[in-house]
Amino acid sequence: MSPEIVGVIGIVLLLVLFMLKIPVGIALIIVGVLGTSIIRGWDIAFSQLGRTPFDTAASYSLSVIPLFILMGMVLSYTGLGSDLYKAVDSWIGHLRGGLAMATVGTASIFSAISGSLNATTATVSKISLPEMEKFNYKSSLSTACVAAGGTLGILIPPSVILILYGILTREPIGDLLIAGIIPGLIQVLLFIATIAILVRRDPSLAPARTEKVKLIEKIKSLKDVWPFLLLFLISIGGIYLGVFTPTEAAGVGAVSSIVVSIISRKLDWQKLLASFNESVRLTAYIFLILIGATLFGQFITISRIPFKLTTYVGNLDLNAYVILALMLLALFLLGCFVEGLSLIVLTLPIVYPIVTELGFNGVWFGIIMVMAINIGSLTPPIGISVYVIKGAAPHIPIQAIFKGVIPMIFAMVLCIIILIAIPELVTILPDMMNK
Amino acid sequence: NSSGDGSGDSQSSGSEDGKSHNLIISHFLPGQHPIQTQVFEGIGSELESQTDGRITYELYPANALGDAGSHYDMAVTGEADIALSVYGYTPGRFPSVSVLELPFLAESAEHGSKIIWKLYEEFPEIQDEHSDTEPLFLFTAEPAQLISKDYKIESPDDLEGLRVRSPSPLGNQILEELGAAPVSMPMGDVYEALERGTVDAAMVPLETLYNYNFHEIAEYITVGNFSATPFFSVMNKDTFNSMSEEDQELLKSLVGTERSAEAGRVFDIDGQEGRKLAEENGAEFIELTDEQLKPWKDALESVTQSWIDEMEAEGIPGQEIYDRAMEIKEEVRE
Amino acid sequence: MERLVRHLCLGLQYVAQFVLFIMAIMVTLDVLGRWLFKSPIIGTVDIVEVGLIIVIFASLAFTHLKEEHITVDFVVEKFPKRIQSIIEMFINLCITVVMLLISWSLWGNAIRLMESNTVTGDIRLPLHIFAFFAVIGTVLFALVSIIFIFKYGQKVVKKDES
Ligand code: NA
Ligand code: NA
Repeated sequence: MSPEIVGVIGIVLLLVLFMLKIPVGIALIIVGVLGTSIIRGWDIAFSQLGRTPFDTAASYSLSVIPLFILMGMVLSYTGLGSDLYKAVDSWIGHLRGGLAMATVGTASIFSAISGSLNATTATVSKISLPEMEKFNYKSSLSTACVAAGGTLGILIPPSVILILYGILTREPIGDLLIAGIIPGLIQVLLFIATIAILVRRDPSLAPARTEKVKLIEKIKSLKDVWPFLLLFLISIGGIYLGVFTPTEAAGVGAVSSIVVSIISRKLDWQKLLASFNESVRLTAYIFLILIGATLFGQFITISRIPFKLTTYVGNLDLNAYVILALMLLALFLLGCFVEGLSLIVLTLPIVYPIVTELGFNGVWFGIIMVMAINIGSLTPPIGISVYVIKGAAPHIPIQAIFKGVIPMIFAMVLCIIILIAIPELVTILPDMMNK
Repeated sequence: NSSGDGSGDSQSSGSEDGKSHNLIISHFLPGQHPIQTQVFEGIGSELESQTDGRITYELYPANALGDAGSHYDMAVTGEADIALSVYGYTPGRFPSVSVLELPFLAESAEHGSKIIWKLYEEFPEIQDEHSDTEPLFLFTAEPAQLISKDYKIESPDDLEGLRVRSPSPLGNQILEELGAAPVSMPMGDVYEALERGTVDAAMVPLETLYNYNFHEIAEYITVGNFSATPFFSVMNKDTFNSMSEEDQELLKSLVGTERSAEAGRVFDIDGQEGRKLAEENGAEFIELTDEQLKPWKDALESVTQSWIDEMEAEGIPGQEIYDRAMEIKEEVRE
Repeated sequence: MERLVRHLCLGLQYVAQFVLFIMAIMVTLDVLGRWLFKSPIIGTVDIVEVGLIIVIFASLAFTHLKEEHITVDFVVEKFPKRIQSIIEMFINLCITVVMLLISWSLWGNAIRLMESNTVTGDIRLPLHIFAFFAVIGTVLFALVSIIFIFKYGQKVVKKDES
C-alpha cells in the first residue's frame, strides 16, 4: 500500500472516529500512530508518541497560549470585559449587530499585542462571548465573529507565522510584518460588512437596543473602560518601545491585568482562583488537540500527500493565475486537515519557488499564505480556532460554530481575491518603507 | 526535491544486488537551505546513482518530523534514518563538543568543521558521546560576532551593561565576563528584539545577517570570532548495520572529513552573503586586530579555564581536548 | 479508588495553577529587571518552558474528569440513552488504551533524556524530571477514563434491570 493511500484512509478513519464522539485530540493521536506505524513501523510510531507530546508541551514560544488565556480569564471574571461591552453598547447598541462589529474591533486591537492565532482567539472568546450572550446575540453570530476576529492575530503584526515565513523564504521580515497591516484592515472591514449583511437578512441574530441612551449616560460609561485601555496601552506600548518581546507580552499582559483589576477594585480571591482554574483547563484542552494535530501532521507528512499534491499542481502547464488559484485550492484542502504552522513548513519549500517563478511577489504571497492558513483554522474537520472557541464556550454545539463561520470564510476568500486583483494593497507599505 | 520509491521503509526486501533502502533524512533548516540542496542532495544522489537506485532518500526539512532539539534522539530511535541539528539544543548531552564554542578557536565555519571532525576521530571520549548513532559529518557554523543596531562595540568596555542575546550557556558566560547582560530568547524573536531595542546587541554568526534577515537592522558588526556553534549529522545505528558492507563503504566514502568541511563552507558562503548584504545596507564592520583583541582575550581567559575545570570534574579530559584543539587549529588552517 | 483519583486530579490541578502563576511572574520580573536595571533573570526561558509542561500534564486528567475534552457530538446524541452509554464505555476504553500507550512511550522518552543527561539551556534543569512528571499526568488521565468506563457501565446495567 503506498503511503499516499494510507494517508487517505487515515483521513477517512479520522472522520469516523470523530463521528463516534472520540475526543478530537485522542482521535488525532490514534490515527497519527496507526498511520505512522503502517508506513514506518510500530517502534517508530511509539518513539514518536513518546516524544511529540513532550516536545509540544516543552515550548517557550507556545507559553503565550496559557498566559494570554489567563489575561482573558482575568478580564472576563473581573467584569472588565463586560464594562467594555456595556460602554460599546451604550454608544452603538442601537446599531443592529453593533456588538459583533465591536468584537471584530476588539480582536484587531488584541492582534496588535498577540502574534498567535490560538492565543488571540482564546482571549477574545473569553471576553466577548459571554457579553454578546447577555445582549441576546445568537451564538452562531457571536462565535463566528470571534473566530474571524481571531484570525487577525497573525495578519496584523506581530505575527509568529509571518516571521517563520520570512525565515523559511528569506523574504524581508520587516516588509512582511508591515505588509500585513492594510490587508488586516481590509479584512476587518469585510468582516464588519459581512456582519451587517447577516443581521439585515436575519434580524433575530442580533437584537438592537430600542430605548435611547442619554449622552450623559454614554459619557459615564466610558469611565469604566479605563482599566481596559490602560492594559492595551501597556501591552502595545511595551512591544513597540522594545520593553518586551511579543512572546513576553503574554506574561506581562497577564500580570498587568491582575494588577489593574486589583487597582480598580474588581478582583477578589475567589475570582482570581476561578481565573487560574479555568485557564489551566482551557490550556490542557487546547494542547491535547495541538499534540494530536502534531502527531497527525507528522503522519500526513510522511504520507507525502502535501508534497505530491502541491508538486502536481505546480507542474501543470497553465496560466499563472490558474496555477495560483489551483495552488490556493490545494492549500485550502490541506488546511482542512493540517494545522497552520505545519501547513507552512510542509508546503512552502514546494509552493514558494513555483509562485515566485510565476512572477508573483514573495512578500505578497506571504500575506496570501497567512490568509490560507487562517481559512484552514476555521474549516472542519481540523479547525483549531473553532475548537478553541468551543473550549471557551462549551455549551455551544461544535457544528453550529462551524456552520456560523461559513460567511466569514467567504469574506476571507473575497479578501484574497481583492489582494490578487490589487497586489499593491500589500506591497505599498513595504515599498514606502524601503524608499 | 527528493526521490521516494514510495515504500517509505528503510529496510525493504533484499534482491540479488543487495538490500534496498529508502533513507528518511530530517533536519531543522529551511528546505531551500544549501545543507539540503547541496550537502544532502549531494550525498543522496551519489548513493542513488552508484547503487542504480537501490538506495533512495526522502528529505524532511524545517522540523516537519520533530523539534530541532529532538533530532539526535530521532536518529537514535530510527524516527529518522539520518538527522541533522545543533548540539546546543540538547545541553548536557554532548559536553566535550562544546570546546568549539570557546572563544577565538574557530576562525571560519570550514575551519571549525575540520577541527571538530578531527577531534571526533582522535578522542574516544567524544566518540562515546555519539555511541548510540553513526556520525556521518560534524561541522560548525561560522563563529559568532556581535551585531548591533545602536552600539559600536570595539572594546569589552563598550559592552558594559548592554543587553546581548546569547547563543548558548557558554555564550552567557562569555558575555558575563565581558560585562554584558546575557539575554536568552528563541531565534524567531531576535529580529524584532534587535529592531525595537529589547536587546542592544546579539552574538550571532554572520550567516544570520542573510538567513534571518538581520542585515535589515544591523548597523555595527564587531568581528572577533567569539564562539562557534557545532552541528551534527548522524545516522541510525540499525539502519547503518542493515546495509551491506559495500553500501557502508560507499556511504563512508561520501561523508566524513570532506563532507564536514563542505557543510562548513556552506555556512561560510552564507556568512559572506550576509556580510555583503549588511555592507550594502551601510553597516559598519569593526574587524578586531590582534592588538585590539588583547583585552578581549584577557577578559575571556577565565571562560576557557572554567570550561576545562568543568570537563575535568565530569571526568572528561578537558585540558587535553582543549590543547589538542588549539594544535589542530593551526594544523588545519590553510 | 475513585475518590483517590479525584483528589489526585484536584491536587495536580492546583499545582498547574500555581505554576502558571509563577510563569507569569517570572516573565514580568525578567522584563522589569532587564528594562530597568539591565539585569534579566537568567533561566526565565527555561522555567517558562518546563512550566508549560507541568501546566499541561497536570491539568489533562482533571479536564477529562470534567468531561471537557472536545468531541464532535451530533451522531451519537441521536442514539437511545443505553446505546450512548455503551458508546461512552467504548470511547473511554479507547482513551485508556491511548493514554497507557502514551505513558509507556513517554516513559521511554524520559529514560532516554535521563540517560543522556539532557538539561535545559541556561540553568541546567534536568529535563527527565519533567518527562517523568508528564507520565504521572497521562497515567492519571487513563485512570480517570477507567472510572468513566465503570460509571457508564453501571448506567448500561441499570437500564437492563428497569
Ligand atoms: Na498580531
Ligand atoms: Na481546517
